[in-house]
Amino acid sequence: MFRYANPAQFMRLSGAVLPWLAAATVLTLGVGLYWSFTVPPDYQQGSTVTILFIHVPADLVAMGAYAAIAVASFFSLVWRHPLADVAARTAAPLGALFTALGLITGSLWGKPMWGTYWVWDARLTSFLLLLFLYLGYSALWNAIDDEVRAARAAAILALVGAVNLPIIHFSVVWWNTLHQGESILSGKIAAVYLWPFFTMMLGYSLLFALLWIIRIRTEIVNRRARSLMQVGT
Amino acid sequence: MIDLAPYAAFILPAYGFSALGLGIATLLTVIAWLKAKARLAKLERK
Repeated sequence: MFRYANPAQFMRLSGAVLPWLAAATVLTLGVGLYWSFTVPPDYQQGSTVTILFIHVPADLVAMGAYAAIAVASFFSLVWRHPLADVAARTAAPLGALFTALGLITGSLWGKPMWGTYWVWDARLTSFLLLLFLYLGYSALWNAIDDEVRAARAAAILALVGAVNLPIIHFSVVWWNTLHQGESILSGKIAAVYLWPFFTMMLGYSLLFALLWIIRIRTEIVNRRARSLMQVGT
Repeated sequence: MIDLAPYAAFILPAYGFSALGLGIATLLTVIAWLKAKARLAKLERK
C-alpha cells in the first residue's frame, strides 16, 4: 500500500482517476436528485421525506470523513507517513462542511416533524460535538507553526475524538432520544425510498472523494512550491 | 413529481443550503488547485 501512497505515485494515479470520478459524481447526483423528487409522500412524514435524501448522506459522509481522518492519523503517528498527514488535514474542512449540512438539513426536517428546530438530545448533541471536533482539529493544525509538531498534536486529537463516532451511532439506542432510530439497514424504510437514498449516498460519497483528492493534490503541489522557494532563498 | 406544498418552506431551504454549501466548497477547491498549479509552474520556470 505504501508503494502507491507516495506523493509522486498519488499525483499520477489521482490525475488519471479524477475525470472519471468527476463524471460519475455529476451523473450520480443528477439521477439521485431527479429520483428524490419523484417519490410518493410518506404516510406519516409527507413530502418532508425528500429531506432524507440529503440529510442522511451528509451525516454518513461526515462520520466517514472523521473515521478516515482517524485512520490517517494512526498511520501518521505510527509510520510517520507524510501523505497520511496531508490526507487527514485536507479532509477536515470537508468533514466540517458535511457535518454542518447534516445539522442544518436535520434542523429543517425537525421543525415540521417534531415542532422544533433543535433539541439537546443525545444524537443531535453528539453530532454537534463532531462539528466542534472538526473545527478544533483544523484550528490545532493552524495554531502550531512547526508542521511535524502540528501533525502529531492534531493526530492525537483526531484519535481521541474518534470515540464520538460510536456514541453518535448508538446514541439512539443507548438513550431515549427525539431523533428516530436506525431505519435503513433494519428494513423499516419503504422500498420506494431506497433507490433515491442509495443513489444520493453514492453521489455524496463520490463528491467527498473528488474534493478530497483535489485538496490532497493541492497540498502536495503547495508543499513542493514551498520547498522550491526554500531552495531559492 | 412529489407535491412539496405543505412543507416547501422546509424542503427547499434544505436543498438550497446543501447545493450552496457543496457548490461553494467545489468552487473554492478548484480555485485553490488552479492557483497552486500556476504558482508551482511559475517557480519551476524560474
